[in-house]
Amino acid sequence: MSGPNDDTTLNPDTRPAEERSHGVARRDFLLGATIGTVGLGATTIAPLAQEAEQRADGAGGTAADRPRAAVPTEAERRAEEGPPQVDVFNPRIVRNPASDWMVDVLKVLDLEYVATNPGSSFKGLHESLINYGGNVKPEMLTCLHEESAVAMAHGYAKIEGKPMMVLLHGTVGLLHGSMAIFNAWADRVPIFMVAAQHQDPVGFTSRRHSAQDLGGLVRDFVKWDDEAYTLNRWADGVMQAYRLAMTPPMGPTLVVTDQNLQERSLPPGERPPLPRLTMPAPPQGDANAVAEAARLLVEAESPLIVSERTGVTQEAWDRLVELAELLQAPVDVGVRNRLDFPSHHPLNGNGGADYKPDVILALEVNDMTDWVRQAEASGATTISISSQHLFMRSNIQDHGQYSAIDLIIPGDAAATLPSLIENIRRLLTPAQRRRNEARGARVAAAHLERRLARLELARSGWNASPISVPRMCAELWAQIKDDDWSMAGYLPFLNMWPRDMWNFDRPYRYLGDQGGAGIGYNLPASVGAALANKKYGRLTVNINGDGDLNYAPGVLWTAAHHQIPLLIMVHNNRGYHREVMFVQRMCAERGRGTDRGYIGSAIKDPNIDYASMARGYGVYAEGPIADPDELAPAIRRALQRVRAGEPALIDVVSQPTG
Amino acid sequence: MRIAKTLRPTRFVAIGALMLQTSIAVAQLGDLVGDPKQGEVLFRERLCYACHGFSGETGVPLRPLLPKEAFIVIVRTPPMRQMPAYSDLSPQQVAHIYAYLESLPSTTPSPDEVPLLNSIVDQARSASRGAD
Repeated sequence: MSGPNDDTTLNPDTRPAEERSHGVARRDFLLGATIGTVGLGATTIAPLAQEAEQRADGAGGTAADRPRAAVPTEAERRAEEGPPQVDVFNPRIVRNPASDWMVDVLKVLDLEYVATNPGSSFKGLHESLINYGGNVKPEMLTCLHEESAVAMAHGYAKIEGKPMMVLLHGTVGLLHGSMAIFNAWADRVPIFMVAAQHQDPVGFTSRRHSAQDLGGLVRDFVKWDDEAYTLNRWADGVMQAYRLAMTPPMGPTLVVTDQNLQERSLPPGERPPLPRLTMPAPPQGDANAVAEAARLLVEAESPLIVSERTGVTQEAWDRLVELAELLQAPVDVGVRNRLDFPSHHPLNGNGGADYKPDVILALEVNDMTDWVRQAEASGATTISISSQHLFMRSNIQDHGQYSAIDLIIPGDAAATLPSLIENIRRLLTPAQRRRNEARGARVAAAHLERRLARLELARSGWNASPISVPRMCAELWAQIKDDDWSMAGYLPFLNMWPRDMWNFDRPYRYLGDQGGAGIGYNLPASVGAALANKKYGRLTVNINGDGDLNYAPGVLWTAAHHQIPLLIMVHNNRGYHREVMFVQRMCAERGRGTDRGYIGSAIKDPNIDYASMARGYGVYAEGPIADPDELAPAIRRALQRVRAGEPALIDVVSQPTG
Repeated sequence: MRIAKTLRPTRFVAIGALMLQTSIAVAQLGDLVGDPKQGEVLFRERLCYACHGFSGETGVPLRPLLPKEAFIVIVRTPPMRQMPAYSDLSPQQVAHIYAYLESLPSTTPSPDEVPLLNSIVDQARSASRGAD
């Protein structure tokens, strides 16, 4: 959070300390200024001053408990007086501010929301968004931390398939948001960000909030950034940033905006023309290379499809199912990313322990290192279709090592699937189709065997207290399975139990993990996803680790304030339990005793009361619940709230591991 | 064959590790008598619950319990890499943990007592038949 980002610090307060501490002088000043303005002819303001005086005199309260110059809310004022009238004679009034035109440019992008934690560097744009723009398209989301704002945009984009705008305040706002920006970068998720500062910083505060190269603070993990000091250039940057964010491989982009540029007054009649947004077609793989890939797959004895971020739209999801069924090949979607493929489809999985792939088709797989290593050991052929081959620029090692992939097809996998399927369909002989059917039956048997083994394991400790993770997942599934649901939290810390229990049969059912493995993503991203799901009437749920929840819990307030329906079940194992065991193993390996491994990674003494925390933010909450028999009724009550349109939280005291 | 059906592969490994132990007589380990109360303290203090759950039945379940001799050897010198070696615990201390685990009531119901889970199992089977 960028703290109190108002410009009062630009005008150092020279009043005596006793006045500053009581704040009375400031209120007197405001009242005086208001009445003074009335004297200049602003008749619309006169009732405000009169009402302020009445309130200060004690109408509706005592003078002691009301500020002397308290003014009515904007809603009250507009209800009484209609829209405010601009005082055309007041030389202090800024007419035709440039930030109004900026809002018109932003409206070209058809953005639904702008998430922000306020800051003085974009107060001009802020005012234009809420007044000139009417606070619609985009509507402002009040966030209590920039990391929450960016992570909300991250979760939103995974559902909506397009960016949310995020407004960031100079150095401090951008740096606060940087962890979430990195997650979005690593997850190839589009976010459109505007960060504001002073090109020519003035005053004590602005100097610290400005930088010679603001975008440089996050350039290693944004796809593109720009900095503009003229309006036309700013509009170009906005269009380019949006387009590049949405071009595969997608990613967050940033436009740095000067504060003075927003706040200047445009001469009458001098509004630059609005730009037109045009978007590219997604890049498809080379036709000859795709034909070769089809040949390899058709002739393979045991093909394997590996997918990371292909089935993110319903069309791509359906295409991937079509490809798998055509080949009768297993689809391995791993544990980190979106599921891409129906969890209960018989071809979901790696084909079983006995399945030895001879051709591995990787779709949008970022890091091919392990797959190529495995293929080189077994003699298998590797094919990679990915937009990553078109764009790789990062200081971060998430792209893995150089890998000698046999057939590389640069292009968007989803856009390339239709031509790959068409080629395969043309090449397949009846004999090959019969062979494929037999292969599919073996893969389906392995899928069922693995799933039943997992469900048998789920029974172990079913009645334990604290509550077992599979019990928690099964209890929730029982109450949402007939809804149009969406699981916004990630599964690895749940030992993937929902994948085995819940029927993930649509791309929006599961959003994958953080991308960059940065903890603190889960809660705000699920709020953003829930916001996107809201207009489709979907029920959004999230099982959220207690460690993750503590990074930026203020987003609970954002969910309550904006009435975002979301069920949060806290997987409260009272520790960073992977780290607990990492350290414990270290203690054992070094032979220095195993009685202190919890230090620094357990979250207890005192236990955190998450239900009280949530209630403090205005969210309905229950817990802590450690008795498994109490869980189902609590879920039922909480879901009533969520289905009525509000967030709810259940603190579930859980077993440490799945 | 009966043993092969009831023991998981990791338990075969465990028994193999047990047979390699020469420094302590296996029979003596089996004779150690543990105190459940001391075992509970050790179970929590040494973070056994972090992987095996507070009842020893979640995560990586410990039930059904191995023979005491095998349990003591594995806790102190585990053959599996994921498990920390609790070599700083004496065989007697591990016997306390064993006694604690023995004293715990089972939290695992029989299959017919878990209708919620059974409905998911039924769905898995029917989905499989649908695929056929």
